[in-house]
Amino acid sequence: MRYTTKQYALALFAALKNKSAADRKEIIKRFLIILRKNRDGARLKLILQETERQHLKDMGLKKVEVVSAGGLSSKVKKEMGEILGGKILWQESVESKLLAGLRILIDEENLIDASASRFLNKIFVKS
Amino acid sequence: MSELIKHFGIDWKLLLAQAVNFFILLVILKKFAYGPVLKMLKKRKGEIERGLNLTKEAEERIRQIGEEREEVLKEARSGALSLVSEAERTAKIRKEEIAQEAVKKAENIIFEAKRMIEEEKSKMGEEVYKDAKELMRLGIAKVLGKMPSEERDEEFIKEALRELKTLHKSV
Repeated sequence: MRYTTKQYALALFAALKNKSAADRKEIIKRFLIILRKNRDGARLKLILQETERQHLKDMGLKKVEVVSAGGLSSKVKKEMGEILGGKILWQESVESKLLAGLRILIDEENLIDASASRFLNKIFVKS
Repeated sequence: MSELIKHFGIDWKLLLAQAVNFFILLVILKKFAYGPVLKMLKKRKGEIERGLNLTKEAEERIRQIGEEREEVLKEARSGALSLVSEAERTAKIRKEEIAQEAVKKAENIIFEAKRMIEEEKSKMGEEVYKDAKELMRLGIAKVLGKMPSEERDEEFIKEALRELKTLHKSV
C-alpha cells in the first residue's frame, strides 16, 4: 500500500510530538528506513514541508513568506499582521527580479503575487 | 494395164509374197516394237502431262503465295502505319501530360515559395513585435528601478493588502 505525503507527514508529526531530542533522532532514523523501504525517498522534501506545516498549525502559528523587491517596511508588516491575525512566523527575503511590489506565501498554500514582474508578464504575455 | 504392169516388171506372186512378209513384219513390229514404244511414249506423255500440271499448280501456288505476300505486306504496312500513328498519338498525350505536370509543379513551387515568404514575413513581424515588447518591458523595468522604492511599491503593496484581506475573509 502506498501512503500519501500528508499521511507520512501526519505520522511523523504524531511520532515526534512531545518526544525528547534523543528519541526524535531515533524516530527520524526509523522513519527514513521506512521511507527507503517503501521507495518513497524522493518525497522526503515534501513530507518535511508538510510536517512543518502540521507543527506550525499545532502551535497556532501562520507561516508567512514575504519576498519583496526593496525590503518590507515595519508599517506594511504590521498591516499584514493585523489582517491575518494570530501568531505569525515571518520569513522575509529580497528579490530584485520582482522589480517592485511583493509576493506573499501563506502556510505554503496561498500565494499572493503583487509584484511588478507579474504585472509586466501579465501585460506582455496576454497581448 | 497389163502392158503397163509388164513394162514396170511387176510380178504378182512376188508382190503378194512381199505383202504377206510385210504384213507379218507389221504384226511382229506392232507386237514387239511399236506396242512397247507407244506404251512407253504414252507413259512418258502422261508423266509429261502430270509434270506440266504440277508446274501449272506450282506456278499457281507461287502466284497465290505472291498475292498472299502482297496481302501480308499490305497489312504489315497498314499495321506499321497505325502503330506509328498510335505512337504519335500517345507521345502527344504524354507530352501534354508532362507539360501539365510541369505547369502544376511550377505552380506548386510558386505557391510554396509564396507561403514560405508569408511565413517568413509573419515570423519576422512576430520577432519584431517580440523584440518591441521586450524593449518596452526592459524600459518599464528600468524606469521602475530608478523610482524611489516607497513610491514604486506603494500601489503594489496596496494591491497585496487588498488581496490579503479578500483571501483572509474567504478562509
